[in-house]
Order: sequence, then C-alpha cells, then structure tokens
Amino acid sequence: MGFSYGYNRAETLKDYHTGRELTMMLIDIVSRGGNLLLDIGPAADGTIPVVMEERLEQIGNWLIPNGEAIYGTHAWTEPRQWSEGKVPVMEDSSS
Amino acid sequence: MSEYDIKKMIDTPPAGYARVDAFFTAKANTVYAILPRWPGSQATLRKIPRARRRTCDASRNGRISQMGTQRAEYRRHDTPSQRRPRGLRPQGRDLARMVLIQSLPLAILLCIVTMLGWGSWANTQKLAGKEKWPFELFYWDYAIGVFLFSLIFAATLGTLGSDGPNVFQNHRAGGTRLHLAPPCSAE
Repeated sequence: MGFSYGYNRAETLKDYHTGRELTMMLIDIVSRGGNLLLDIGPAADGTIPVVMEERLEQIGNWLIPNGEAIYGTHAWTEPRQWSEGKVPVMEDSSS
Repeated sequence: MSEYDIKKMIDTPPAGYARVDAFFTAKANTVYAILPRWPGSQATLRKIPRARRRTCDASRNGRISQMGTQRAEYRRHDTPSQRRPRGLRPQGRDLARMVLIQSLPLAILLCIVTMLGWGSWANTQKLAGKEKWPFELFYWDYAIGVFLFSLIFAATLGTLGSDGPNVFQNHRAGGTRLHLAPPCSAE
C-alpha cells in the first residue's frame, strides 16, 4: 500500500495510498472478477505500522455496510460505467 | 494511458478522458453498482437490465441504500436524499502550538546546548561554592530553578510555535493519573 512491497522506513505519508484509493482498488479488482492482493510490510520487530493498520481499518469500515456488494460476488458483463469522454486503454483491456 | 492508476480512473482523469462513474459486481439475480462519488439527486445507470438493484455509495461509509426498481424507459433512479456527513471541524479555538525544530543544523546546535544542561548541577554547585552555600539550600534552589525554567519554556517554546500540540494539550493527553500517581507500594 506504500511505495515498497515490504516495510521501508524512508517512506512518507505521500508514498501511501489513501484509504479511499485502496477501497477503490478493491472495488475495481472485484468488479473485474479478481481478488485484491494487498501488501503490508511489518516493521523489524513484527509490529504492523500504524499507518498501514489505519488503511486496513478504513477498508474494513467501508466493507461493514457495503460488503454485500463485494463478498461472494462475481464480475458482471461490464465492470465499469464511464462518464462522457475518451475511455482510457487499461492494461486489462476491458472497457 | 495503459498504466493502472486508480486516482486517474475515478477522480482526476487526464483532460478529455472519461472517469469511472460506477463499478458493477453481480451475485445471483442482483447487480450491484458501486459509485465512487455521491451522485447528487439522481444516478443514471446505462445497460442495466430490469432486476433488483442496490447501490453502494463508495464516497463515504454509508449504509447500503435500497434503490427503487428501475424505470426502464429512463434508465435512472433517484438516490435517497440523505444528508451528507458533516466535515471534520476543528474542535474549539485553534490554540497556540509548540515550537518544533525543522532544520538539522539548529537541531544539532540545540543538542550541544542540551549537554550544557547535563553539567548544570555540578557547574552551578561549583559556582555557588560549597563552603559559602549549604548543600541543602543549593538543592532547593536548583529544584525550584528547574521548575521555574520549565514554566518559562512552557510559556515560550511550548506555545509560541506553529506546529504540534501545545503544552496544555500535551498535559491533557498525559491525563491526571500521571500527575497524581500514588507512590507504588513495595512488596
């Protein structure tokens, strides 16, 4: 959820995705039929850095009321609805 | 744009590009539309079949709002007129803050000043003169002096800065237990 896969003490808050971004990543992946693999890097003493814990809590708090649309679901015929404008070419090549 | 950047997809698309208005998931006979932003009074969902639908608003931690059945001719439905959550407001008046050193040279300089503090007991005792000033009185003078200095620092470096909590907030965070802790009973 930060810049590095593991714990990197040089990371600052700017390197971290916000809770909203991570939640959106989860939604985006699930809407395309996938699972989100999210790395958190424990510190050297095994503790989970508070900033990472907070992000996980934020995703969890969103899932409490909205998990019905995430758990046990599968991809629909279309994963996304785009607004007016040019639809970017995504690496998954779906619209 | 072939990279995967969720921010560009939902919030800040490059000029001329579209952004995601809704994500869809499905389960049994239900299609879920998850909206990244609160859509206002109405949300238009294209290409949705007649089915029981629910929409989750991802723009906040709201409950799942039960949507009415779709009016096929319009392909849109009304969102419930819920009040938006109030933004976080600073509690009370914005109090003064403490001085936090941001530059490295100044921090090192203050470290050296701290070392003067190490020797303050021995040096001031030497200055007072062991013969002229009794130890007991020096002890009291030193303790009261340190306490007064702490008050001075609290009123200056602790409140005249621009960052972090001020001295009063720090005291509150410490709680009263810390100040009024009873002596531990030795067992």
